[in-house]
Amino acid sequence: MQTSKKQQLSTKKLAVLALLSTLALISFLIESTLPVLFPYMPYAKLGVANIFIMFAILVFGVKEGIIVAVTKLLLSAMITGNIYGCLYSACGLTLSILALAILVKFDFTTIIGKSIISSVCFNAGQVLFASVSLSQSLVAIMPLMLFCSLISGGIIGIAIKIVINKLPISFFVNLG
Amino acid sequence: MQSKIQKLKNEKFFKISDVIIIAVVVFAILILLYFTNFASVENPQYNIYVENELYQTGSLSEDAEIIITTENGTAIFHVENGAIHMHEATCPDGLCIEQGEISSTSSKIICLPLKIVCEITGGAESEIDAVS
Repeated sequence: MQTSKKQQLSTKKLAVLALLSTLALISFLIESTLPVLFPYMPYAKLGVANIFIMFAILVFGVKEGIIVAVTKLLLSAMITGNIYGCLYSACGLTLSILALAILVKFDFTTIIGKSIISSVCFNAGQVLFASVSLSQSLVAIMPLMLFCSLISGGIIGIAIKIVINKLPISFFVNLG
Repeated sequence: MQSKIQKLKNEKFFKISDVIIIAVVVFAILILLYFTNFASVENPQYNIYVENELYQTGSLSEDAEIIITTENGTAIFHVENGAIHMHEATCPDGLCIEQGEISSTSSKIICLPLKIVCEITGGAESEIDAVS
């Protein structure tokens, strides 16, 4: 079913995108209050908010995913006041959304594979930005970062797959 | 739209390509680990960088307290029992304090808001640096 490009944003789509942005923001805020997973790696987090951004990209498209990501980033920057943290996730998000856009175009993996690759790109983007801004080679923390992104990407991919399978097809009607 | 969702729903949970992706990532981890130096060095010493410039070095075997004041805030390092940890810092997230103490060359204490990096190096190398 091909939708025309000039079609207006439907009310249902607007509501769903707003819902996804809010869910991403709330899950990010709840996650940031939880204690650190590994004391050795205080930066490692599951990144539950990425479930909703990736869901938007898979179901709607890259453009809608960017809308959800930017909304979540700006609101979280305003609420937490942590501009550094948001700069880092902005850098990671840019790389991971780019990777996801390519993966969606050349569809050769499952959702879990896409999730793992975008998670790796997210962490690589963050480490890259940290290396540039500190002028320090941070390759030493990359192996652990990659291991963490393997696990978190896998968990997030499974979560998205379960959500898409459980949602009834009627939810997606008129979502063009 | 519905056909796209139906395709996503019908998609298998796991494919061969996923195994390949995981294998590639694991391989990358192993390669990076191979290049990471885990060997314990003799007479390790700490180097603290503030905004990319060397602020202070010292031996890990001597207990010390290092107070760093930058325009963004204050940070206090403690050197105790052959390890260094961030004791206090005025950064908003406090992740550098939660990281705890480090004593091996493979780990670093990084405080992003204050732009402070603490790394561990071998003592012998730095002596050559000091001479040259």
